[in-house]
Amino acid sequence: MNPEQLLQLQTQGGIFIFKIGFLIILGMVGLFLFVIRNQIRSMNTIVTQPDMFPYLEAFVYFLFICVIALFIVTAVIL
Amino acid sequence: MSDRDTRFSEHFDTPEDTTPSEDVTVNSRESQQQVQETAPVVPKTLPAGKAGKMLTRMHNKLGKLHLFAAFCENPINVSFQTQEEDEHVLLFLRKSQWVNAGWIATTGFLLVVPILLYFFRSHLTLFIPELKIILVIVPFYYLLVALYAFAHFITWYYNAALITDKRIIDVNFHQIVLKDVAETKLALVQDVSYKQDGVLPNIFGYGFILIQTAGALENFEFHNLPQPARVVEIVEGLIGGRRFYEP
Repeated sequence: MNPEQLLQLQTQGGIFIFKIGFLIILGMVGLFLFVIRNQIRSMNTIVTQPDMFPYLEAFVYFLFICVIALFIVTAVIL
Repeated sequence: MSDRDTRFSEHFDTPEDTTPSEDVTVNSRESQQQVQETAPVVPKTLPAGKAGKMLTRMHNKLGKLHLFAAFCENPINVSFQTQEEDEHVLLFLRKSQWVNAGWIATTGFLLVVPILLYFFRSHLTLFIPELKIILVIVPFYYLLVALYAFAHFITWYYNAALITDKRIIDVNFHQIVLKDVAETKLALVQDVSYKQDGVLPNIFGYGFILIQTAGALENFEFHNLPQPARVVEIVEGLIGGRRFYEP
């Protein structure tokens, strides 16, 4: 194995580790969003402010979709 | 005068102040039935005189809670979990909107950081990753910024205080996972005071409110509430009206 091949292998290995780590972090962000959604629902039960609640929940779902999209893009591109 | 105003005027005991209800006449049987179904029961412990007048004025100024309101008297679209049938929210409070300035400014700065890095990339000796990594990292960065702002917003939004005709409720919500709901009956409130300490609280009109409760019960402390003088006036009116603030 010549130095160029070794460098290429190292780069590919580095990207693979980065990809796995990044996907794990994205999963954690998704979990965090799930917690936020539950907390919003819970807080809205404690003090009901119906005007804003749908927007807040919709924004959480929007972020959740972003996380899923990023997850897919990361898995495909990298 | 709207139907809602009519309901409150009819059912609020106002021996001295007749101004709000003078022009109100509920003659039809239907109107009376509607009043009985939806109107609040007059709190029997209401102090007469100034306190009665004040509460009557307050109930006649019903307000729809604005989306980002920090102070709303008689909100018509707010309720809470342990609310009793004959209990009415007189005051809804959040921290002043101005306390959000810090995280909003931080969010604005974080939003422009990648743009600044792009324009000044020739002056920077940073390691520039491959395009495909940038395409992943930049959206992720903005996702984190959005989460940062959203977490701060809902922390402000759900940190609320409610003053009803029976009790005071303090809802604390911190760091997404911490919830703390405390309440005390108005009968247990001994004193209420406020403090506006500093330049910004005096410029923007917010302050600290201390509600002292009887015995070994914990006091209620509300930081950065808007219109503290008005809040104190209302609470004092509810607990017996030892002194009144007349703006």
